[in-house]
Amino acid sequence: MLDANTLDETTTAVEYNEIATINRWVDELLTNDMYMISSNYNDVLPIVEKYNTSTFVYTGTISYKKRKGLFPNFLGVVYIAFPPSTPLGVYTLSTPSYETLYFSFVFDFEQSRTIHLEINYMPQKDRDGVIKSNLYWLLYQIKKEEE
Amino acid sequence: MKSYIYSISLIVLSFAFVAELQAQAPGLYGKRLIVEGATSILLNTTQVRYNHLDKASPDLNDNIVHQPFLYSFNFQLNAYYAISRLHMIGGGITHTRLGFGIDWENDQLYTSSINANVHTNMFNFYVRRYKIGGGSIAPLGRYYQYGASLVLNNRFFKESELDYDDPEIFGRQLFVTPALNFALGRQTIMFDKLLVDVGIQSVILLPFGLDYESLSNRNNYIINPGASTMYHRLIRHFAFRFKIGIGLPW
Repeated sequence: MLDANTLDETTTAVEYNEIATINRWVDELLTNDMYMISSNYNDVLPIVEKYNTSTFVYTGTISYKKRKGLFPNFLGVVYIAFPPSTPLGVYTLSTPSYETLYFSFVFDFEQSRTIHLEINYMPQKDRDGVIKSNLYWLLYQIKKEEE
Repeated sequence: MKSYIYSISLIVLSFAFVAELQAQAPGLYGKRLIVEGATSILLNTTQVRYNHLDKASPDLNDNIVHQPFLYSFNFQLNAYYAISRLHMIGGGITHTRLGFGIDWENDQLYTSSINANVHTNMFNFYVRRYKIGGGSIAPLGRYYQYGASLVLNNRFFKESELDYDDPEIFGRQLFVTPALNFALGRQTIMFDKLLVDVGIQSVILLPFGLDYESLSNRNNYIINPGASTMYHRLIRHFAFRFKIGIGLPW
């Protein structure tokens, strides 16, 4: 797997260059307003040949802690004031809110097109299980489409 | 009444198959069946009044307990199955024990201590729909749930005299009541395996199979106030509750 997050001393210059080439290809594809062949099309062809596939998955996650506005805090106070919902109020006020954005693209380098695109917004923390579930969902769809 | 229950169940379950039956159902890492143990709680705002029948203190005046703030619990075992990315169907059983002291103070003709009890086993069948806007991939994310329930209420009374003795049990009867169940909640995964489920639940008991028979019971004098209260107690108990559950994929 070509992964910019797992670069270490065993990573070769060739692999580093491959990641850079793919990133540039993806950047160009996503920033183009219309369909057009990438300017580094000829650079990705050796990668396609090396890994014996023209299909590459490009995926990532953005997660952030959300600043609580007045409304959630107000709701929390109301929950606490109403005794049956006190546990919910304590939970609402004492826990931070998280949001996670998971995105995945499946590209065909030879045809310079996006085969699959999914952007999944989740109002929850980016726990391992949540990310794995999204990855599983992505791979599951790819497998089903192949069948 | 049976046909009524069947009709409700069929209508509810049919909603699950209207859409997305051909859709893909990833489950949790491919495991679509989730088995969950849960409880639901609620803080009682009314004074719960019961006789604890303390042997060391047989005086009824000492035994009557008023507990203004008491969390009531019940126990649930649920199983649900992913049929698409955003749909699950499931079933489960909820066990609840409720009891309270019958008001004897207003009528001095009766001086025993009586506890009214109802042990409830509720069989639930439901459809759970997850929100794609919330990024849900069943069983993760926010959901709402609706379904039908069959509520089996085992009603009985325990009576003891002033001198404490093993309480006599009488008036035992089973009442079967259909109900509708609803829930709103959210699920997330912890430690890579445990599914944590929090939400609110509501069960609306339908007016069939209730305890009207006790009005003509031979213990009418004792049972009437208790029986009436029992219904209200049951309805209040199930009307709105907070649920906490832990599930495992299978």
